[in-house]
Amino acid sequence: MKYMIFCHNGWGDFSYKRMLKLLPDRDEVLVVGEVMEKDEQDYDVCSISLTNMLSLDLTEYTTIVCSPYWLKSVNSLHPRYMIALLERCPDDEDAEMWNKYSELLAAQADIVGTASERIYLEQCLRREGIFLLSGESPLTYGMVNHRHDTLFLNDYEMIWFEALSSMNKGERFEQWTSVQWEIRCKYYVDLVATYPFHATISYLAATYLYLLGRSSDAGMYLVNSFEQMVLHDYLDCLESHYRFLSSMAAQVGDLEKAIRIYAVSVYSEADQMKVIEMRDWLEHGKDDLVKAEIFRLNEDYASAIRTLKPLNTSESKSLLRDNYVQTYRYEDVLRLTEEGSLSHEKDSEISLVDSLLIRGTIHMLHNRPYEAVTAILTATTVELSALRWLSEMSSYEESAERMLRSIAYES
Amino acid sequence: MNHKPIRKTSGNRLTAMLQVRNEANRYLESVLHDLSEFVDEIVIIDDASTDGTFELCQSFAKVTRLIKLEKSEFNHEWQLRQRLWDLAISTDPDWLLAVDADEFYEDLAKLHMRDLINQDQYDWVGFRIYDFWGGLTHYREDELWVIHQRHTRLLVRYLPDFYYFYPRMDHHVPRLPLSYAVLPGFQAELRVKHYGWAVSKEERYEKYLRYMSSDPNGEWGSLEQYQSILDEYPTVIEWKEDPL
Amino acid sequence: MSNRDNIEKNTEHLAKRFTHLDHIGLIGLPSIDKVTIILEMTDPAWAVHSIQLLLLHSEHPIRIIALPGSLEFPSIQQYFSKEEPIEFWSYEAGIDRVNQAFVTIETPFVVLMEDRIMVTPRWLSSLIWPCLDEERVMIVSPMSPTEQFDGKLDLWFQSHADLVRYAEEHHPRNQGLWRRVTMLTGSCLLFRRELLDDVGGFDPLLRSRELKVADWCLRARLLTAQLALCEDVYVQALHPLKPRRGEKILSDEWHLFCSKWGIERDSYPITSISELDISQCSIQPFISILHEPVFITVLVVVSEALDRTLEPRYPIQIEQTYSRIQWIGILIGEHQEHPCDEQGIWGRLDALIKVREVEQWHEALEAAFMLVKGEVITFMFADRAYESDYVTRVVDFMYRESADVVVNTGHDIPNLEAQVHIPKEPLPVPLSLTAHRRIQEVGSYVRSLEEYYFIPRASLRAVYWTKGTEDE
Repeated sequence: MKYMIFCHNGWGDFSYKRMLKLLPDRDEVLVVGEVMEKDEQDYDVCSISLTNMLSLDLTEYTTIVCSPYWLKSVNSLHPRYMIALLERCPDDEDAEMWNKYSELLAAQADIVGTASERIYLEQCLRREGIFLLSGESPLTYGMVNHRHDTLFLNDYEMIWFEALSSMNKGERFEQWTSVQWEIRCKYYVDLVATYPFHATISYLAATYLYLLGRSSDAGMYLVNSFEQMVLHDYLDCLESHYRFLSSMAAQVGDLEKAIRIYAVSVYSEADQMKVIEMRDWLEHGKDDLVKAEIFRLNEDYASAIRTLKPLNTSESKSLLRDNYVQTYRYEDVLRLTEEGSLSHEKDSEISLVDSLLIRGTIHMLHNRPYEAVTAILTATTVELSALRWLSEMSSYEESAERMLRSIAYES
Repeated sequence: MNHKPIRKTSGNRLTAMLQVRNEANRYLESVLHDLSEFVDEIVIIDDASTDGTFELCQSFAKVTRLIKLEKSEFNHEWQLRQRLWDLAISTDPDWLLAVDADEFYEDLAKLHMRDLINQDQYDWVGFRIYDFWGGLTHYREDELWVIHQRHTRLLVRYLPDFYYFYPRMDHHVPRLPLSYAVLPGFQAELRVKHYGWAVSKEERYEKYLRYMSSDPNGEWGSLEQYQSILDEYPTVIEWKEDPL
Repeated sequence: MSNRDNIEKNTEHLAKRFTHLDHIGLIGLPSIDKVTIILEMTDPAWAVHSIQLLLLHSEHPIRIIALPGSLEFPSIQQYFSKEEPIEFWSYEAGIDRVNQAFVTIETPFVVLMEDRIMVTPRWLSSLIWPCLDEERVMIVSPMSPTEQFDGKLDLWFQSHADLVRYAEEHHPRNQGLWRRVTMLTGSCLLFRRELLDDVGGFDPLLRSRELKVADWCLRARLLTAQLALCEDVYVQALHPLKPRRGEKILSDEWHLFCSKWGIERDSYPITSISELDISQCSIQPFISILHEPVFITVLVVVSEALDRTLEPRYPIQIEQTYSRIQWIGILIGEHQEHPCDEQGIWGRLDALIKVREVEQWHEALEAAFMLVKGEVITFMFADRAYESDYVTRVVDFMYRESADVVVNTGHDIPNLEAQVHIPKEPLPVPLSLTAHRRIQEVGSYVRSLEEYYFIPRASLRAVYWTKGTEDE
């Protein structure tokens, strides 16, 4: 397998250098932009200039993309696989833009990795195929031959290796996500025994147990975390800690309890209407819709999507589309809309605008600027405020160009 | 299946909850009379009284739950609080008012009580408690006696599905579960009169001795405050009842 | 200077001389004999790597006995030249191969290890020295991540080169540093051959490696043997991402261990073992290493069919890879020809029972049970096809999972790993897919709609697995 690396700020800032030695089926690893000769030797990589890269046929390459500003360029190259490495927004970048387009990058990628546990957990609740590229364990889980030495892999390196190997073979790699959750879960559960009064550690133990589908065990860690938060005066935890219990109730199938818990945590009229709607669904046997909504209201879009996907009603598809929109799975949004079984109902105008803007964004990211602008201008005929998307698009283009210039300049 | 809202905006029942211990010859009778006028139900735990407190409580019609402990749990306050809470919620209440055996709500508070609870925007109410000193006309206010300068959570909406807990301490445990702190609340400018220190100098001295014997190192309360009980000339302010 | 001071000075001088000679490479090996290394293999990639390191870093001449961990373990012989001192043994179901390897040992020192272990330079000499320092030292372990108590050390190295660098610096600096410990449970142990004569092998009633080794060490200590921990050797260990089957200590196994050694059952996990006061134990320390593989009885059932043209008949697969089988045939109902005539099955049966009335099937079964000699009974029906390794697999699963009942669930289950179930309520399973131990009240047999079923007793350990038969 040939790999092409697209760093954000050039090789110097690339924080996954060791990972390049551990890539499975390693044929050739090219890095776009300048790389010091010593590093080329140490990490067994070759640097390639932007122009030269563009002249290659990347359909046989796996790309590793470290910046949302590469998304547009990489799309136009049609690589075999795209690996996204997500980072926190750098200090000199606009956070809103960075975060939004990082989500779009993650949504499009075949597999996603990140060293930040915060980003990792957020992504676990949004999509499949996410892996954590950091950890504390000193244990050794595997080996890779590299030149004349054998490199040892720790837990996350081995998991990542196995996941990429599966991907290269065209096999599914979800099982490795669960393996990672088991390892993280055990780590935090053991840590709770040492630090029982630490709110965050208990919360993380609860989160991993929840991800593993073990909500019945997760509950006690969550309430312990809640107690610690309150005892230490961190009172802004009604949603993050208490409401999360409703998601756990939904996971074990106790939907009535889930709705009741959610109802306790909301006060506005709109939210109370949502409670009534869910109760109504439950009465009419639409359990899956309730389950999916509770997940979504707890920002567990991944579970909501999994619950809704097998269903086939216009209601379920409408909810599914909402989840896709919130997780930036724009291609899926369009596909659903085109399948035609969606009733826009009362918010048809707003949905139409959203649809057009989504379409516009996809066109832009796939290098179809004419179509992109057309879609957005059409949207502005319905709602003038859609014009701001034009400026957003050009901001994106600007940032992307700035990044490309800095790399082209180096090489 | 019913579509009963979690928070009612009308028809809320008000239940008072008290923890009492040997209060027969103090203010308890007046308190229970007073409460009977504006609450719907009263729930009481008697912490092993030896003076007829239990019988006194029994004599009030609105006292619907009354338990007497065989052995005092005064020195394990969180257990006592938990028991009272469990007893109170067993009546499936709407709102709970945590009252001490020597506390009286001012008339304005009693008047507004129903308005406070018949809404769905907040789940608890804080009141200002005033420590009356040496009589029923003045309250104390000086460096260490400033409880009325903040609000104390005394009135809460009971939400059956919420998670309730008390901190596991032996003394100075809050009257109501700490978890209410994360829910929205209302700080009412309504006052509660605490007559616990309205007693004679000799009785105040006895109280001082009790505090010093159960907490000689000031683990649970401030030693300075205990000492200040003996102050010869504390600063007191005349109480003015608010016009209705 | 006092006598004591003299001795101290003397020791210091000798130590300095030794270090000097060692430094310039003039110290030979502590033992002139070969060392036998019994390697338990769990993963082919790990095994290849582990053996390569054994060949690289063992200063002594060695003989490696490589034991595959499962029936499916692939051959790795092709990675090594024929000149290498490695014997690749084949897998045998129903018996502890380590015990069998013990029988063949002739060298004074033996190492028992798993393929997860990566040895380091000078490891072997360092492990042998304590045995020469103290007569009573019988078992020696290096520092490693696999020790549970004393000796547990988790060090991270980015590469093999780093590991070697550490060892080359650390080991000589700490040379001679070892101490007595109360318990060893790790994946790399050196022991004296005499231990096998005194203590024997592992307890066959225990399955998990940790408990087997712990039990063995405790029995050794009963005979006043000493356990040594070498602080001057570190070996690295690999860990599996997914827990290996059979790795977890089962609760009934733990109870067995506790009863044997007088430990409080609630004191799981294993940390309580190291504090055990063995002076109160009155156990017979010796357990023979000579065992025979499980003897199994196959009950071949040919039951009358209503319409023989519709029901398929398969020849009974009497050519089984497992050798220790007693064959008993049971014919139930009317049969046109003698169904067991084909392929000379008749001649191979050790016993045959025939009942003309189908209703008497239960009595026929009872009669067969009276003739059973095997520890395990498995059923083969003429209306199913069985592969030639069916019995081997049954024995294998039963043995490795410490199961009481083994059920083949066919091809529907996508997961190839055996799933272990202990049903809360007894589930009827087709008798033709079942095997169970010959124990009292193992369950009940039911015939319903021409099918035979077995309902295991609720508390038994039933293992469901997938490979073994074709679809009907």
